[in-house]
Amino acid sequence: MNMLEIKDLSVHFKSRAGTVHAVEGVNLWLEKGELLGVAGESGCGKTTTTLAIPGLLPQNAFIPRGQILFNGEDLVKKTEKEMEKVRWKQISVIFQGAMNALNPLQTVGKQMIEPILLHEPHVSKKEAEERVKELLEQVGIEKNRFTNYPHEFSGGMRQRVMIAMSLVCDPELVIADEPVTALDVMIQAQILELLKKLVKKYSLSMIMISHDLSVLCELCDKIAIMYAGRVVEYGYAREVFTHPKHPYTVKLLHSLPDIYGEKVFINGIPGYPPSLITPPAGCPFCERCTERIPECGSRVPELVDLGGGHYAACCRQTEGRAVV
Amino acid sequence: MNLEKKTMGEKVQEQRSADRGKTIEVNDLYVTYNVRKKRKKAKNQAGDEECVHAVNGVTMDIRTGEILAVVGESGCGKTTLGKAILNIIRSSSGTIKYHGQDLSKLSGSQIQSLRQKMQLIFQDPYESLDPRQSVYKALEEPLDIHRKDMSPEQKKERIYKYLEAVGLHPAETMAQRYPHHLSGGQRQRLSIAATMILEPDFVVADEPVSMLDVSIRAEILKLMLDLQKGTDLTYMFITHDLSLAWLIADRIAVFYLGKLVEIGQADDVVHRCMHPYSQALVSVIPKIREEADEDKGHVLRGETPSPMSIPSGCCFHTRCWLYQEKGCPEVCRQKEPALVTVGGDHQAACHFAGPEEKGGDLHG
Amino acid sequence: MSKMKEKKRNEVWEQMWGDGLGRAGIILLALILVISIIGPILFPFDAKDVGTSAAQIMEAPSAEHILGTDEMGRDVFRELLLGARVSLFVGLTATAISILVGALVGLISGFYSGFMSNMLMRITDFFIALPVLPMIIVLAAVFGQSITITIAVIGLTSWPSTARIIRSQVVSIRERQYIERIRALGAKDSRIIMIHILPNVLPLIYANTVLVIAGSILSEATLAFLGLGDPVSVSWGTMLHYAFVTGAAGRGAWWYLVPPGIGIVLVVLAFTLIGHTLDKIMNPRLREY
Repeated sequence: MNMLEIKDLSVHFKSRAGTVHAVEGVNLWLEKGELLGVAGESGCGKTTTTLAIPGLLPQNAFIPRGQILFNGEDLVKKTEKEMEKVRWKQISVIFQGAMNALNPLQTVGKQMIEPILLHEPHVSKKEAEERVKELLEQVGIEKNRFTNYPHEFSGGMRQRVMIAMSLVCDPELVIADEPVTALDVMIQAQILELLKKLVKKYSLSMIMISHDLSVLCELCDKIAIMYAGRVVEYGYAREVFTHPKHPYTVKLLHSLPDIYGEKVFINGIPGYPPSLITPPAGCPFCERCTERIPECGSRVPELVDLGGGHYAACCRQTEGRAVV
Repeated sequence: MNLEKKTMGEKVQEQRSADRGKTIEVNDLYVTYNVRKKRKKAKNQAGDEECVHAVNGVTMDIRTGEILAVVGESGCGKTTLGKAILNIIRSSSGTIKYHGQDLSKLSGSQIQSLRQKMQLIFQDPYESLDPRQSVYKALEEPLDIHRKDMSPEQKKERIYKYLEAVGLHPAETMAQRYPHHLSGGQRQRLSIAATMILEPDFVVADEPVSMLDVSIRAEILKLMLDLQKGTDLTYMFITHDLSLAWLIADRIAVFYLGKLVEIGQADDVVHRCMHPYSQALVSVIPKIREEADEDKGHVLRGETPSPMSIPSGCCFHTRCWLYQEKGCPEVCRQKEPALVTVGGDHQAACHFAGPEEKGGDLHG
Repeated sequence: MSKMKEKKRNEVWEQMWGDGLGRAGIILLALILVISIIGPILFPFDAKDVGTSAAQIMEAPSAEHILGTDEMGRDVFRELLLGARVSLFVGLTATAISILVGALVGLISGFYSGFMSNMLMRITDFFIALPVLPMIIVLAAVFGQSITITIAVIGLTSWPSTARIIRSQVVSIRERQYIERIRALGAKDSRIIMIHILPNVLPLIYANTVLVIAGSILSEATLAFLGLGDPVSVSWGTMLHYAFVTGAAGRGAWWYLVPPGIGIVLVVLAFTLIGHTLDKIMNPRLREY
C-alpha cells in the first residue's frame, strides 16, 4: 500500500473575482521511503496541493472533492482537532523563507522544543532539549546555538534550523516547500546534500516542491510536473528527465541550459498559463502547445500509464500518437 | 575568434574580432563602505574602523560588442561593481575608463550626459517600475531628462518604435497601460525598452531574468541579444547562474569576496576552469540529463566570510579544497595571488594555476 | 491616459460609497454643506431681528424662532446656520496651511538624509511640543483676537503630525527600486520628488487631510469656546462660549447649548468617517504597490 495517495483532489479558492480552480483532479502517490519532487512554474498549484496534505490551506480555500489517503486514512475528512495530532508527529513541513516561518522573539531552542512537548507530553523538558540539540548537530549547527535567536543565524543556517525543526517529532513524511530558493548556489548544494543524508538516516519519505527543475533532478526518486492545477506528467525522475512524454515537460526541459550538453540556445514557451477562474474546456496546455491535435481543445486528458511507472496526461499519448 | 552559437535550432556563425576596442577599463578598483554604529565609526577590538569591503582591487576590461558575464554568490561585489562603473555608487579608489575617458576626471554635467550611454537593467520587474506611471510616461521620462531637443512628436515616434522593438504590441494600446496590468515578462520588456530608448552603448544587466519563470526567460534573453545585433552595444551581465552565463556570454568573470578570481572565454571558464572556486561552482551545477556522480565534486563547507573581515592572503583559502589537498601551504595564507594567464584569454588568480602548456595542477 | 485615471477615481468613489461608514460620512457631509451654503440664503440673519424686550431673551423654541433665542434675543437657528460657515471656513483654511507645511516638511525631510533632514525633524518635534493654548493666548494678547490668528495657530500647530506621516512614507518609497532606477537614469532630485514620490504619497495626503479638517474644526470650537476666538464672528464654538458665559446651562436653555454642540459633533463625525474610510481604501493600494 502506498503511504500517501492523493485521489482526484481539487482545491478551489473563493475570491472577489470568482472561484479560483487552483488544483483540479490531481492524482499523486508516494511509497514509504521515496522522495517525490513536485515541479512547475508559478501558479501551477504545487504548493496548494502539497499544503492540502497537512491541512494548511488558507481560510478561503475549500476542497470540493477528492481524497488524501495517508496510511489508508482520508485526511480530508478529518476534523481540525484530529489533524492537530497528525501535524508534525506524522507529517511535518519545511517552509519556504525560514525567516518568515520562525518567531523572531523566541530562541530557536524554545521553538523547537514546543512541538515535542505538545505531541509527547510524557517527555520531560530536559529530554526534549537533548533531542533538539542532537538534531541541531545533525544539521550542522553547534549545540550551544540552542539559545540563539533567529536573526543571529545566516540564511543558510536558518534553513538548517527549519529542517531540524521539521524532524523534531520523528515524522514519517516531510514536505519541503521550496527549501533552497533564495539561497546561494553553494549553500543550496550543501542543503540538498544534507537533505539526502537525513532522508537516508531517518528513513524519511519526502515531498519536495520547487519551481527549479534542476534542484530536483539529483535528489528525487520520482517527479510530478504540474501545470495550471493539474498533474501533466509523473514518473521516475531519471525517466522523466531523459524521456519526457508531455509536450510541456519537453519544453520546460529545453528552457534549462545544460553545460554538459551542446551549446544550444534555450527555448521558452510563448504565451501565458490559462486563467484559473475560467479554466479552458480541454487540456490546459492546449493553447501554448505546438503538438496539439483537434481533440486537445475539447477533452481534458487523464493521467495514463505509459508503462514502467511513467504517466502522462496528454491526448496524443492516449490516442497512441506519441509525441516523443 | 570564431564563436558558434546555435539560435533556436539554427546554426549561426558569428565572427567577433577580438579587438573592437574596449568600452570599459577598470583599474585596481576599490569600493569600501564604512559601517557607522551609534554615530561613531565602529571600531573592533584592534581599534580599526569596520568597513564593508565590497570591491577589492578589481582590474578588468569589458570589450566593445561583447557580453561579459559577472558571476558569483551574494556578497561577492558583482552588483556593487556594476553600479560603481555606472557611477551610481562612488568608488573609493582606482580608475574607471569609458572609451578611454577617465570618469573621475569628468565634470558633473559631462557625467550627466554620459548617463545616456551607460544604463542599468534591474532585477525585479515588480519593483523597478513606478506603479503610478503609465507605460508611455515610463518611456518618455528618459527622453525628457536627456533629450530635451526632441519634439513631442519625435518622442512619440521613438516610444512607439521601442515598444514594438521589445515586443509590446500593439504599441498604442500598451502605451496606455499601467505596470500592474502587465505580466512579469512584459514588465521586464518595458524595463529593457526604458533602458534602450536612449540608445546606450553599455548596459549593465543585473540578474535580468532570475525573477522570471523559466519558460519566460528565453524570450527576454533573446530580446537582449537581438537588440545587440549590428550595433556596438556591450553588456555586463550579472548573474549567479553559471550555466546561464555559459550559454549567453562571450566571456565570464568569476568573483569571490570582491575579487576577480577567474576570467576568460565562457567555454574555458566552465569546462577548463583553473581556479578552485570556479571548479566548485561548476561541480555543483546539477546534471539534468545524466546520472549524477555519487561523489558530488567540490561542495564547499561553511559559508562565505563576511565582507567586513576578509581572510588574509588569498581570500578563498579558508574554504579552498585545493588548499586542504596541498596540506595548507603558507603562501595561500600570506600572499594574495595575482591574476596569472593560463592560456590565451584565460586568467586565474591562484598560486597553483599556471599556463596550460605547463599542465596546471588542478586537472589531474 | 486620462481614461485610466478616471477609472481609478471611480473605483475610489465606488469603494467609498460601498462602505457603510463611508457612505454615512458622505451623506452627512453633503447635508451639512447644503445647510451651510444654502441655509443662510434661505434664512438670512437680520441684525434688525434682535429682540428688544426682556421676554425675548433666552426664549424657548416657538413657531417664530424654531430654536429659540439667545441672550441678546437673536434667533438661534439663524445663528446656527451662519456659524456653520464660519466653523467650516476656519477648519478648511487651517487645514490648508497645515497640509501644505506638513507635506513640504515631510517630503523634504523624508527624501534627504543628513543635516537638513535632522534639522527639519527637530523643528517638527519643537512644534509638537508647543502648547496650543498658551501660544494662542500670547498671540492673542500681542496681535489681538481674530479669525486670522485662530487659523494661523491651528495651522501651525497641527502640521507636525502630517509631516511625520508623510515623512515615513517618503522614506520607505525612496528606498524602492524604481527610485533607484530613475536616479540611475540621471533624474534630478526635484524631478524625483515631484513626479515619482509625490504622486505615490498623495493618497496618504488625501486621507490625512480629511482627518486634519475634522481636528481643525474641533480645535476651532475649543478655542472659541474658551473665549480665545474672534469675538465678532459667530462660530459654533463662539455660540457655546456665549451660552456658557451667559448662564444658559443654569437657565435650562438647552436650545442654545445643544444645537451648536450637536453641529460640531456631526461635522467632525462626517469628516472622520470619510477620512478613515479613505485611509482604509488608500492603504491597501499603497501596500499593493
